[in-house]
Amino acid sequence: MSIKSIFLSILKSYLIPPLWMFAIAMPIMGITKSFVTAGLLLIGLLFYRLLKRTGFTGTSNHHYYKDTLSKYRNKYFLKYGWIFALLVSIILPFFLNNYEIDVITSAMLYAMLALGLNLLVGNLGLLNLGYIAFYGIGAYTYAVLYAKFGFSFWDAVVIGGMMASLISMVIALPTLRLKGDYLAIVTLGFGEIVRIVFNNWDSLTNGPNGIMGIPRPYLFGIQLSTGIRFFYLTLGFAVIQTYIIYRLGKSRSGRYALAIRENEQASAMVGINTYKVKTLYFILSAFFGGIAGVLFASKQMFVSPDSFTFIESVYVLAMVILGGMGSIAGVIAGAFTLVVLPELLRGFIIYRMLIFALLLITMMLFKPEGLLGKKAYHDK
Amino acid sequence: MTNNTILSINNVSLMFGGLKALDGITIDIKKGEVLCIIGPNGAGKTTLFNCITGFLKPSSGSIMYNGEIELIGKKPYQIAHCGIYRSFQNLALFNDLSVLENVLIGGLKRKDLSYGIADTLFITSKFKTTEKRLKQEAAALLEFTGIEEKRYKKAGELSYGERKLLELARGLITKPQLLLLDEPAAGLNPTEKTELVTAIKRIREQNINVVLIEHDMRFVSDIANWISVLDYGKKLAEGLPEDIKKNKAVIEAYLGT
Repeated sequence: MSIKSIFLSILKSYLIPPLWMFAIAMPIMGITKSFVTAGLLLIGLLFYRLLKRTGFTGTSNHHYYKDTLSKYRNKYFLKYGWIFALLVSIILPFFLNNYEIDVITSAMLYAMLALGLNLLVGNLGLLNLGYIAFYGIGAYTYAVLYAKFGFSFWDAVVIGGMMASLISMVIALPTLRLKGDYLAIVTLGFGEIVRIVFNNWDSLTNGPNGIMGIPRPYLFGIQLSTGIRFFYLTLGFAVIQTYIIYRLGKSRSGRYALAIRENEQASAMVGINTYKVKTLYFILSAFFGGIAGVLFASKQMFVSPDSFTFIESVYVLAMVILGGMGSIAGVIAGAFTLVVLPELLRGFIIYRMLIFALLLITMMLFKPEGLLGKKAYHDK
Repeated sequence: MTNNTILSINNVSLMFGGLKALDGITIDIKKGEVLCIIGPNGAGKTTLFNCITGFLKPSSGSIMYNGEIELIGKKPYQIAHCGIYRSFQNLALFNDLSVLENVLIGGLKRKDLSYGIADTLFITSKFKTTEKRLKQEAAALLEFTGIEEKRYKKAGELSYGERKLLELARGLITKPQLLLLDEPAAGLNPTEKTELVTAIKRIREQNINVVLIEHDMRFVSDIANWISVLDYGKKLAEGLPEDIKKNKAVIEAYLGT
């Protein structure tokens, strides 16, 4: 490689994206702020490069290693990377104020949602544009069960998850024979139907006014009323869910999903009942969505149909795509980016959607496989 | 129908609109023989495979497996569970996954190598030993097919011949009783062809029945004990390789009159 080509490749991978960012952001944010943003992007790129060098980006569920060395590196970083992340999240709340804890808690809820959706989008390659409906079903299950029958949070968690699974089964059985765009349209319609039902079934859901006064849960007789206590509850659920999904990806179930995503015909030929596996994954992903919904209802202590609009589905999908389809660490990173970033950009609230779009377009141009994803989806 | 017939295709017909793709095909595949189906392009060889493996549904006839299981009306995955594996003419691999992973996926249907969801979540010893055994078997098969060094490569990065071998390895881990190979030698160079012949002979020794679709007559006469010739959806002739080579109707079908 000549000096010139090295120079060009550095220019291409490190300098062009920030410059591009700068040029686009300047009219909106002014020179200083867009300069800072471009700088942050550059630092981000360098940091990402570093992560890649150390092999931390090789996560997700396939055992695709170039050589044994990187295999061990991956193992090492995976093991200790997760422990480190867990420790950080346990200590973190002590250094944050209530508002920040609240933001992180909702980031965790979104991460749970994104992980659930990733089971479909990332692992199976099925597009679901109405995923937020399961979140809504979970939330409303708890709200209605509490308001009408006085159920506790812990009962509602189980019932909410089951309720979402049950309804997902009703939608999955007839529609999972569809592929790609058609499935996306059906799920989109389903999401809207659920929201409209919440909005109009006054006797049960109290219509657009929503249901108020949902209590925070009790654990060993202590009410998790403060932000910090609820943070730990959410963290507990998120860790359990992440662990389950991680283990599934490492085993037979993960292999089923990979096979179906890659080649349905060949999957059938090695004896995989593709329809059954897809249905099970759909139900499982709805289950996680429902549980996150119950947590959401008790966090907000209030539910209304406005929280479950189509744009929320897109938001969750964007987290999956931004973070990297199929990669657990990536999806979590995507969720945190998309929840925390808008909070940091509060000053530009009107441009939020614009910046959001910009971010995704940039992503598609420069890193179509997502922040921590792998190029497995783009056979170059 | 005696017990030594693994698959008996009886009077199978398939219509594509007004076209008779298969017209009353009757073939018996005896246990222990390597049957080769030959015929000019468009004769209906692959269509017949598609009918056997459930990708197409014949309009009439019956396909009995082991003398007792009717295959028509079954879904491809159910047929795979019966112990039939097929390879595809234009390859059906999991291209973005590693070679090893491709073979491991083949092991999914094995009852003796399965474990439950609880084993997965709590990493039980059953999980560990099963996964280890599965990986050992996969490695052994990759060695058998001679693509062992490529195990961590993506399947899509392999050469054409290696991919054919990988498809074979993935089939063998399912422990099939009947192996249907659709043009396994097409696109292989002479050395690879010889390797394939040895491989198929060794597979034959493990009591796996092999049915091939092939064009290369030298390759066919190397391994086939019995040949069926299809032309325009009809069975034109069948017999020993030597007889087929001399058969006038067959020569006409291939060369034209």
